[in-house]
Amino acid sequence: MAPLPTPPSSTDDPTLSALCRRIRASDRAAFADLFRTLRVSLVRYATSFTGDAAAAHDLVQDVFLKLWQIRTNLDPSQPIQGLLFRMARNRALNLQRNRRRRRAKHDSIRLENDSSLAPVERVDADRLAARLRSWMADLPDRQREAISLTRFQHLSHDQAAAVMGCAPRTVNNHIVRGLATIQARLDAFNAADRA
Amino acid sequence: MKPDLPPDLRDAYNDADAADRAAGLWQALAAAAPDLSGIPSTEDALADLERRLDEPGTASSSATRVRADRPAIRTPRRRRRARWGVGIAAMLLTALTLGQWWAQRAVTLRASLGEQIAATLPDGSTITLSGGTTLTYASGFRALGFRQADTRAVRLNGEAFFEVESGARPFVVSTFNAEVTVLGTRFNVQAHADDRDAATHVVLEEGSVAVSAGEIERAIVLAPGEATVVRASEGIVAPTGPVPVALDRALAWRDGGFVAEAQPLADVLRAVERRYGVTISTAANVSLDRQLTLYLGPRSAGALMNDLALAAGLRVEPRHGGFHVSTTVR
Repeated sequence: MAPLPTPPSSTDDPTLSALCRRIRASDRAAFADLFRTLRVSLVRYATSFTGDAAAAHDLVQDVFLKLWQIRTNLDPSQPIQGLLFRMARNRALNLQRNRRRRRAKHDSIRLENDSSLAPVERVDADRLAARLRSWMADLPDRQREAISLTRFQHLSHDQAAAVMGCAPRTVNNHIVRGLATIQARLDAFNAADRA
Repeated sequence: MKPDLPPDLRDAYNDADAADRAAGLWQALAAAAPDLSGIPSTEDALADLERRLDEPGTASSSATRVRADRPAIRTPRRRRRARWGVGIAAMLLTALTLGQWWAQRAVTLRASLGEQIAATLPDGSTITLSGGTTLTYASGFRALGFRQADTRAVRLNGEAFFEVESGARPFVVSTFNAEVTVLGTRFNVQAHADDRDAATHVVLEEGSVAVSAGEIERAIVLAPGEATVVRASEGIVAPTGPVPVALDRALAWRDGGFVAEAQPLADVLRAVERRYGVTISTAANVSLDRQLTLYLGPRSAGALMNDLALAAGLRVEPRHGGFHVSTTVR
């Protein structure tokens, strides 16, 4: 078997559990290190729920505040990364729910999302990225989450499963289904572009 | 070279062509990672976070955002009239605030040391408080605006037995580290935050309750005759899985019984202090961490301390207003 690709340092558990132990002992420097290691991943992940990076940034700040408040209850034998992702997830889902409620109240008629517009411009790299992003946004929540965790946050299937609270197999199924949907839209898009 | 898929994912495709297409898409998706250019840099965010850590009690950033987003209120043109208006509005607001406060002021029930009290809550639920226990709730279970609150919320420090009237609004007991949510049932909650082995113990006699804690949103649902423990000390706060318990033991305190199951001596002595309103001192060489298990029927404080001494191999002498515990002389 080919050696597994080494994940980036953000999944380096021994370092993280050492940080976790120091944070438990109220070490602010360790807290800052943890923030530097995981913050961007968490913001990206939260963005997959909130849709806008500013809200994701805010909620990740709150997650780290909360982490500091509960530091004495941390368990260094549990992956702290999983805890942070779950905390971000809970907050993102709450935000999503509140927004939905507000939206339902204020304007019952929402704009159709514009990602289904016919392609007109030439597909350069930026446009493709924008398309992919909007197709990602259209995926069911669980599929988008699974792809976001494994692709953008470089979590392994096992780690993603721990964050999402399901079996690694299920994570895999979500990814495969999500990829199939995006592939179909990409094919349709390319065909229309050629015509 | 082919772009690589994560190994688990590659296994999900049985034909090589589909796998290659998926790998191509996988590669392309890298470009679709969310655009984070509009938000503060990690160092700026860290500085902001550290500032907020140093001033406790600051509002969360999402809350401040909402405030900042609100349009500014235009200043009125006719100032003199406006001032009258402001005065009247302020008076009304004060009256309203007072009314609000009165309607939903906090009510505290307290069983002092050595006492056991029974009480009825605004919804007809009845509770029995053990010695040294406080229970707080909003008057009439009301929320702001003279409305009924969404939940019947009580805060418990100590131990109490609940007989909850069924109702549409969930009945929620909060302790220092856990929440017990019920619809109508009989159950016991013990949560002494200052115990050596500080934990919330929940025992269900009848009906159904859900116990949750902290950040981990994993609620444990109990069936009658089951118990769960939420512990503050071991790692992250979370309820243990349900375990069957002997109800007569777990609820013995209501009939004057005294039960300790594998509890540190320090906590057992505290429980005696709370139950009988006595003070217990210990000699320096008494090991307060040793675990003790006791099942005793109703008896006086003196008789209980004698039994405890016998069971634990300790010496107990009566002192003014309490007892002194020491090791047996060799």
